[in-house]
Amino acid sequence: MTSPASESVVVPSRAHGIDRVAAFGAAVALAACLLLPLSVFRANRIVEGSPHTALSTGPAGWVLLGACLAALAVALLARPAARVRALPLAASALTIALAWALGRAAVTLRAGQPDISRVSIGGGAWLMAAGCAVVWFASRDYDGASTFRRAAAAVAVAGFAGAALAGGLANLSIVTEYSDRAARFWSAAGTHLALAGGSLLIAILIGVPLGVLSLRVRWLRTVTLGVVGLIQTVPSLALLGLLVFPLAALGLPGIGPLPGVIALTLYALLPIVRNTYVGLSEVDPAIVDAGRGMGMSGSQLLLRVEAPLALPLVIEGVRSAAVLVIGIAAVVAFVGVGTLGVLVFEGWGVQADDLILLGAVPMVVLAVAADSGLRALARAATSPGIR
Amino acid sequence: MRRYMKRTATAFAALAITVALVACSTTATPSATGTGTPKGPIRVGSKIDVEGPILGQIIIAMLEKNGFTVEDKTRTGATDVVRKALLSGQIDIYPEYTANGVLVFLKDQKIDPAVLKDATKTYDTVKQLDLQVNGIVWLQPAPANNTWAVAVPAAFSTANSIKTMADWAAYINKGGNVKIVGSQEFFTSAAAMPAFEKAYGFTLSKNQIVALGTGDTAVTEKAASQGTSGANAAMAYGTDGTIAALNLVVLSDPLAAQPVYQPAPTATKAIMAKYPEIATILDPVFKALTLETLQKLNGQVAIDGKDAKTVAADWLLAQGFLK
Repeated sequence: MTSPASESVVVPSRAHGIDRVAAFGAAVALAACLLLPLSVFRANRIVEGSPHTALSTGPAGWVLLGACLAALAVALLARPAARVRALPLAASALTIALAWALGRAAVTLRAGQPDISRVSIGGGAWLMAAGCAVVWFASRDYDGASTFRRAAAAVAVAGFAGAALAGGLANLSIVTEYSDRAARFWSAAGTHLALAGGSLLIAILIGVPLGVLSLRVRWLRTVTLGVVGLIQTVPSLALLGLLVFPLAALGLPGIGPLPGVIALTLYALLPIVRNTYVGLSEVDPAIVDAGRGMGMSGSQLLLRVEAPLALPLVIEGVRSAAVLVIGIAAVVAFVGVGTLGVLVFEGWGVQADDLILLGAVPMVVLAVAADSGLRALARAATSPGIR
Repeated sequence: MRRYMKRTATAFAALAITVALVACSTTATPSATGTGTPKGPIRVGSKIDVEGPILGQIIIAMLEKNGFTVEDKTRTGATDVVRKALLSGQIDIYPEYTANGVLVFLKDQKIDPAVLKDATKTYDTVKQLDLQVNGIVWLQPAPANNTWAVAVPAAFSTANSIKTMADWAAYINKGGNVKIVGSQEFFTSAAAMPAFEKAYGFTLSKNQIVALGTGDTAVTEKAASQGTSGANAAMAYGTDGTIAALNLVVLSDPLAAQPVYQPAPTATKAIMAKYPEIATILDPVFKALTLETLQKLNGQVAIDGKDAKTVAADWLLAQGFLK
């Protein structure tokens, strides 16, 4: 292992002078900090709120402004070789300053106000978070100092947690929405995951064999790809409605988990079937020929040659299906399944933005986690020779 | 790098499988409290709105207190979904509104519309016919009318001295500036806005209406309160808890143009035959749910953000139904 100091630094070509991407992110954060509301105060959960910028809510706001300026200075003024460490550091500092300022603003704005008053995260804070993310991703384009970058990320996470505990993030409305229904939130998240995961599993068990058969049987390919493609064009709410009749004809319940699983499985089929078929059909015929020349049987060819080569593409299909299904699982709340969608619809029903967020944010987190996890799986499954 | 990827992938796969297994094993387990041999299970449903889950949780708490095992299926879906669930026996009981029974579920029965003006007649009609036609039992309704109404900003009401629907009609006929936000159903269902128009002698033009796909009065009331798209009136429900908080007032309906919508538990004939005591358990509780009480409880959910279960339990304790 080389020591970090002697590690060679490769600056991305766009960033030999100033780093335009990082500068853009920092400038967005700075503008949002100065012009847009960090927090929104409401006398109660549903009335119109009054916006408050970072600087109007006390010293923590000035610290946040400093963090935005520092990030911009690093992007514009620092030597390119120094930015490899300075950028992650700036992003980390900005994250912590933002969490701290949000917490302090919530405490300050609610001081002396009744318990039912609320403080929501304002548009400026969301935009600052986005700007901060841009700075962070810009820093990932520099080669070298990856250990330092990981350490900066860990500091940001720890600092965020510290700000949450000490800085009063618990005074934010979204936290109140959570603690008012913590048990229901976790059961909704569990149901969401079980429904999406279960449907995905069933879709894999059906879709992969269908994809394999489609390669061998021409008429089946036409029918299968046509039908799963057609299903994809039906809006999810309409599909749930349409399922009621065939299920009733079979004497099965038209509401509850069953129609939910069926609908999600149907939606998940297209990417899985298509990618399995495409993955297998794109295997180089020369490789298959070589295998046949070695005396492999049909099933040996499939399992030892075609399947390993097609696997990354199949996993890619599962990845698209997973992201799709996590989103559509929200709509299944309409047929009596308590997914995270229930929180979204409930929040919409009383116009409580933070309750909508409480349902929506975990869905985004789930989708991103499934996406990056399956991406890594697909990369790991790619044969080293063709990576 | 590759080894790192592989490790991440393996860890992710293991995590995914664990989570799936845990999630599958933690599906709703019926809870039982109270004394005696467990009866049930009773599956309790509700609509996905503010009032439905509160009434549902009140039913659940009372049944549990009386020794029933209860499955919480509240927030089942919109009216058509939850009613379908009851008819097909996927739930055993849920709260519904008396006029909905007459207007929606029994619309093929040629009922005299005059019935709807009177709370008792509406209830008696739906009680008798829904049992006869669909095998659904209606229990004691709450003495609260969650009917359709028009709410306007308090400042608008004072400035133009508009207190009743008759005042509002006169204001419209004078050419006053009006824009009302409501659901599609509110403007098209014969029993809703058209009934107001007929009774008070006014007609809303297309550009005086903002019709939404949703029936959520929090949405319409917030629009009127904030003047979104120039709105200065909103569709509202009688038991809404949000009206005062949004600085709105409800226009009174002196000619009683609207049907009476009283909430009552509706249950399948089968479950009522098996456990007739459900009626004696729930009747006194629903009798105590007055208009003011429901407004207060709905407000605690919509404005204070409390969970329906907490609101239901607190009220039942305060009333002495639970100890």
